[in-house]
Amino acid sequence: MKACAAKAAVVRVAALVGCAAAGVGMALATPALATPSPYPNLDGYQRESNLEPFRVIDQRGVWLTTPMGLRCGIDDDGSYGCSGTLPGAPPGDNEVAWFVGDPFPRQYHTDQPRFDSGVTQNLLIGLSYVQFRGSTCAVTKESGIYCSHENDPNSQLMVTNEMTFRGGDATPSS
Amino acid sequence: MSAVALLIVGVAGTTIAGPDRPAHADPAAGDARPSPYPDLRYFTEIDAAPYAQSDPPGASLPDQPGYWFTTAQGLSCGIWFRGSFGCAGDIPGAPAGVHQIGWITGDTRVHYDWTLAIRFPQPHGTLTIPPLTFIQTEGTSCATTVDGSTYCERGPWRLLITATQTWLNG
Repeated sequence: MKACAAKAAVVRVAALVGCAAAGVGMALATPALATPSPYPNLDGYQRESNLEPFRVIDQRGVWLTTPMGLRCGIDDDGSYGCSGTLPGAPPGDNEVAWFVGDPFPRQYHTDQPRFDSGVTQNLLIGLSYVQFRGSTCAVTKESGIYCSHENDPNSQLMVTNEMTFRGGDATPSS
Repeated sequence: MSAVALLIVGVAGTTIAGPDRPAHADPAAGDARPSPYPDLRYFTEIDAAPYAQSDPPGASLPDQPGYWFTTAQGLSCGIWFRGSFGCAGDIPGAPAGVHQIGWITGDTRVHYDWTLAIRFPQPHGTLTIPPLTFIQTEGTSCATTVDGSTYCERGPWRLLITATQTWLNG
């Protein structure tokens, strides 16, 4: 019993130290980047070079599920999107997608979610990404999904567990 | 999109080469079905300005003003962002549930799949284009033929909607 209490105390101290360190880190980083982009830098992410597990029978493109349960896909033409709960989006909006040629990703309500194939879509784990027809979809360490097409900043979209971001300026949904 | 084949009336394929038929690269006269598309050379261009409409409310993308008109068949058609064009309504010959057809900038073809329903702006024109005239904007032209059909073209992408049939691409 005593040992247990001691161990708990040690854990708590460690947690406090960890929190304090994180706090200092954030405080230092904040002035340099006034509004840091939520979009991830994919350096160090692992590319899923075998896309076969991300295929769905009788469907075009590649499909995936994020650790948050969002269903996403990249179509044969390079268009992509996600179906499911979009944090920060107006009630009812259940799909965010970028279509080739669009100057900004779209966010809308649909009764027929198109990036949910209705069958199992392979899990894309954190710190990894898939690339298909010029489009990239990555899952961050925090389980957010980020997609973009080639070097088009306007095509970027991201869904974290707190917010949905779109476009070159990472416009948060409202 | 295999359903495209349903709508397109085959240009080739009407000829069956018999055993004694000489192989020619060029089809003999009368073999090929004539192109259904009109030639805008014989049409008169009219000012597009009266057809201009501001951003439709509730569009899933803002900043997409365009030029919109209605057709004799009750379709709403338009030309918008970067020359995107298309029609909304009951598309003659299209499968049930298809209410939009068109080409949107970035597309490789005129099509009528589910993406059109999401990307198509809210149509809101009221004017018609008189027969044998066309409007042109951002590299896309839309015309009304002498028999009241609607025709739009942008380079190789073409769309012809008659009272009973729809032709696309090719």
